Amino acid sequence: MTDPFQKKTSRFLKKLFTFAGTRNKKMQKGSMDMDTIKQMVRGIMTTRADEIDCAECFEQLDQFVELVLAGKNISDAMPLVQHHLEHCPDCKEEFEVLLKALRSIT
Amino acid sequence: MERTNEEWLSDLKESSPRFDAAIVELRLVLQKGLSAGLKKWQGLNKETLEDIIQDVLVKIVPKIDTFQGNCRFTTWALKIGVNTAITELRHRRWRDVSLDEIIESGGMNFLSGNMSNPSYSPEKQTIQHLLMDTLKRLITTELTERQRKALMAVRIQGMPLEEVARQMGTNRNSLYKLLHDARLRLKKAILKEDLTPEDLIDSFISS
Repeated sequence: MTDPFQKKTSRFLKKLFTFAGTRNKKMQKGSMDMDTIKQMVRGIMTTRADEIDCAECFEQLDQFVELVLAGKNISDAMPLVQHHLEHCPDCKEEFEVLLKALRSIT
Repeated sequence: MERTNEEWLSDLKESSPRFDAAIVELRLVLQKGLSAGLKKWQGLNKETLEDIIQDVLVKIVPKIDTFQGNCRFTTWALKIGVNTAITELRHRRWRDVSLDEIIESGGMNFLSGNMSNPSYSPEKQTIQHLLMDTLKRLITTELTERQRKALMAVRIQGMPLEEVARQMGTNRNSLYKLLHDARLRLKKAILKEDLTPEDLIDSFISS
């Protein structure tokens, strides 16, 4: 049986993936695909005035990742970190690597 | 048995008799975690990983007092480890890529390709074209040159913020703020256009 916490975490990760886009996608010179345009428009239209920056996100990332691993509701607990990860490909990438790293040691 | 946060903090004091053992254990945690987390990253061989772990240990030990205890000590240490490792790997991957060159080669042509999805209705395709024209115009008229450059590099070319910031003579935090301001400006400008939220949702927000 699938662990409900794991299911919740997977849903959250899926949302992050589709939202902030994938970094390693190969771009052709002078063109882009519709998915990239969609991600850009989504990113623009969901912009908030009160976003936190990368340093503030980094400060809270350890607590955030532990909540994700525990299957807690992150949108309620740390909405600004979640929002930052949806808009910052660098921090999102670090979060994903940290999550994998922690799973390997627990 | 795993050390508690308090034990890590006291054992990692250089005066502690358990200092060497704690360093060995922390090194193992970093090795295991970073190897698994960065498995798919190019350019990470054993030697590079060892260098990175050494850098992380040198970073962590002197600032151990800044650990606030809001999470496990190993989570905090790995957070610093991941950031140090990825920063180094990104730099190696992008250091020879010129920001100006990739911006010049891409320019504003990114919105002009034929991106129509044949499965969409002609009406939806028309709305998408209208929105793309609007987006291109707003990016050209509403953003400063620096904002446009940063947006193209990060969102279109997929360059890391860290590397774009370095080449633009700023830092990652300031670059994020620059991009945030650009997104806010574009959002305000789009909302002023003669487009309904439904147009945007139908064409771009929903998949």
